Amino acid sequence: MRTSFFAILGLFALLSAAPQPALSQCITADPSLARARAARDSDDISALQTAIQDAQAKISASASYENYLRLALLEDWMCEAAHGHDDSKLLKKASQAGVDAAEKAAALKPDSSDAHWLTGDLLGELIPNVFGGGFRYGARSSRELDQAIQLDPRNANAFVSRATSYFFTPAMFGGSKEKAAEMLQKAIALDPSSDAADTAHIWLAQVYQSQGKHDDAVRESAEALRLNPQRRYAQYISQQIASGKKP
Amino acid sequence: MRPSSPRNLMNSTRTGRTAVFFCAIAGCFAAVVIGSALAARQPSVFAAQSQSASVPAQQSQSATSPNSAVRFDMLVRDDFFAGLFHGDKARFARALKFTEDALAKDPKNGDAWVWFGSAHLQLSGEAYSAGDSAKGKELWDRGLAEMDKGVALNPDDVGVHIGRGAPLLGIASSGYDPNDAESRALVTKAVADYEFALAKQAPVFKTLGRHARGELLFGLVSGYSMLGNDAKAREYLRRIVTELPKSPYATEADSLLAKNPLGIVQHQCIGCHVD
Repeated sequence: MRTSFFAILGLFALLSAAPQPALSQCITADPSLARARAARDSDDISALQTAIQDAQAKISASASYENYLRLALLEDWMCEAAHGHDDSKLLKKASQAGVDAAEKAAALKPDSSDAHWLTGDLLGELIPNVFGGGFRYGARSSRELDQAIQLDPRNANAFVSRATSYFFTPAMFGGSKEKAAEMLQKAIALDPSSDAADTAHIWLAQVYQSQGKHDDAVRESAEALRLNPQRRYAQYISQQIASGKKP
Repeated sequence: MRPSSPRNLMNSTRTGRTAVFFCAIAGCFAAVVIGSALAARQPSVFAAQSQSASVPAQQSQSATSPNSAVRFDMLVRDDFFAGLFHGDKARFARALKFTEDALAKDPKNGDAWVWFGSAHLQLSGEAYSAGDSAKGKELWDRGLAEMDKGVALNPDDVGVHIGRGAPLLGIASSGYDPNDAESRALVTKAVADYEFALAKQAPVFKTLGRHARGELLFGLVSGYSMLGNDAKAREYLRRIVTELPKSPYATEADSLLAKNPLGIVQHQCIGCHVD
């Protein structure tokens, strides 16, 4: 009996020390999140709003880290759908709500790489849509993303988000398309078939297009579509690049 | 998960470094345009007070000679910019203290109020960056009020108008919501400040340096584009092409005139040397 008690204790210790499952695994394992991601792919605002309302109800029942993180993730997806509909009001609302949820998640679990990633990413969404957004939130957005990477050097989403910072920052202030490309390639290498990799290919296409590397841009946008042919964002970028336009 | 950035909106305003960049633009505007505008001004009435105020060391010689006419901005600018561009908190604090002391001696110094307000806007940005939105908002509101006070005290002074307009336009360039009433009001105010400066300097405008003229006109282009006034933005773009021929300003203006719609124009300061 003593042996089995210690075995159970040992197992408990082992399980407690086990790393949190990757966010991507949580999404795959949770049908409602998988549906919400499909809604993101098709820019389905209505379906995402339903998912967000459900998430808010979960928080009312239990203001836990997991529930706040879930809400932040859904608002992040809503941002993509808002872009797809060119709806800046919705984008501002979703990003503000998402930042709020991500901050609460991070407060409950300060060592959560995903909480810091979502905080940084959603602040980035908010920036263009509030007066002086970059002035107010730019430094913090970058800091949150750097912290996300520090907490989990395998967080591909954080690499993708940080890469876009490098892409958009003027060179004289530390921006670098080369660095952006490097970080996106790193994200892809971390998990080549993941949603983060898909997003990385979409962004790498844009980086290459901006550098005049059209063939590379076409290749990356094709890979993004191969990984997720349903994703409207990938379709949009692919069309832009095919037409020779700067996305 | 899609990383955050607009697909087709303002696309260069996401990071702290970018924010610094745009504040540098604001500083450039202030430094160059104020400098040019003030060249034709009467000496500041601050000269008399400057002898007894504590002044930044590098300015003490000019500031303390008995009948010197020292512009207020010359007394604080270097220290403020050292703080803004190089993170020199000690110099920034020195400039802030100097301005505060100057206002205690002369509460009607519009120049000083505008610099004081601008400094508080900078501090507000630092508070927001640190995650303290409450403090950020408090300093933001304070800074705006102080700049307004400066303009109200010296409504005919080009320098105070630019001193308010330039930071507002610079900050707006880092993020702007055209559907937000406060955003529109602030950009409208900045555009009015620049229009005032342009009108006031009309007799000498052609004699000003290319940089000063280019940045002032592009400030108007940017401001009007944010307000959705495509016609006025294009008017100033055409003016740039005409008045600054064969310049990088004209090249940039030409390429913008070819765009339809114009969209929001984000101009990056040309030729500024930030030490």
